[in-house]
Amino acid sequence: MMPSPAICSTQEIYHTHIFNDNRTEYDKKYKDVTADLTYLKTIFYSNYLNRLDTLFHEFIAENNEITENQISVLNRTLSYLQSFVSQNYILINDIKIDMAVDAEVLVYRKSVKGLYNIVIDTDGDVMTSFSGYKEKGWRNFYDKDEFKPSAHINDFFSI
Amino acid sequence: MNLILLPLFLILIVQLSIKRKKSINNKSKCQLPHVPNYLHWDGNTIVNSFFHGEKLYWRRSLKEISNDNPFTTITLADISMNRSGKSGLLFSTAKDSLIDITKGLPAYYENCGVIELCVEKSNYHKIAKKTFIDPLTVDKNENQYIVEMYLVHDPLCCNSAHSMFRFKYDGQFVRFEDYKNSFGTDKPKSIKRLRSICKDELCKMIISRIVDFD
Repeated sequence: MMPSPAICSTQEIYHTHIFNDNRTEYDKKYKDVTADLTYLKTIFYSNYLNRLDTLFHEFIAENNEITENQISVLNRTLSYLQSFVSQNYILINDIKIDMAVDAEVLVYRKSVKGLYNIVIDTDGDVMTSFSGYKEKGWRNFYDKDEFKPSAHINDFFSI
Repeated sequence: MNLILLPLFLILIVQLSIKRKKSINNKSKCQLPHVPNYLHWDGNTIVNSFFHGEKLYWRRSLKEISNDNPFTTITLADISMNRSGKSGLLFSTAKDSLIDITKGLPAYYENCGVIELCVEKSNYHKIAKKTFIDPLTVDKNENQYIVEMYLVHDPLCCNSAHSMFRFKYDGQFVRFEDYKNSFGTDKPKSIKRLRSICKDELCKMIISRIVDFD
């Protein structure tokens, strides 16, 4: 014989009530925390990605001798790196931009294996190069119109 | 006509006298008290071969050494360093490259450190030389530019260990004075690419600490 739903012990009612109360509280807190985290994440990544954009604009403002060709290639390069970073949640603090003595623009990253250099000369032509501490290095050249960051520097973060 | 030729003639005489003065200075006896005797050059010995495993001591400022990317500061003119030699023919130690021989008083370079590179070269009798061709014109019917990179022993009066990386382009060694004419920014694309190759080669040496001439 099935017990009537109305007939249950006080203890059972008490436990169910407490559980539901806790559950509600827990869900509420969980939702709050998740919302906070999402909010923090948004701020973090927007600042983070803006940082690369800021770096780009600061670099151009600081270096008067940079050519239009270099600006265009640098912009394409950083845009690709930025999209890669946002999709893969990779730390971009390692990416550095600098100007060499012969007016080449350098985008580079140092890892435990060595140094990955993207060298953009005044014509906008690109040399990618890896110099290893132990491993043998390599280098490649691309004409400014043939340079495709998604194809030619897709190993920038993996080395 | 004579008036046109006269200044040219005078310039030639001045240049010849500077060259002569330089060679006399190089061959005269070292008078600097703070330079150890073994660094005094006898005026004759030049060993243009480098030993496998020999060390090269490259003096660079602490700022340059701490720089993450050596490419930023490298130029291709007047790259001087000291060679170590090998047992039986020792030239110098690492700290000797901090001795300043441009001043009469005992002087040492401050705020500088030494990068130690190791020569990897199996053939002692072969000249340490590398040849670079522009990779983007190699298969095209365009002007072929070639740059040669040499490691040479270039002893000075007070530094017998002095050696240099020298770059030869168009039959001429690139010097600091005419760097712009050889590798300047207004040069053809091929030259710029070759300049990047040579600088990258030096960058690779600094990162790996190995000078590979095989």
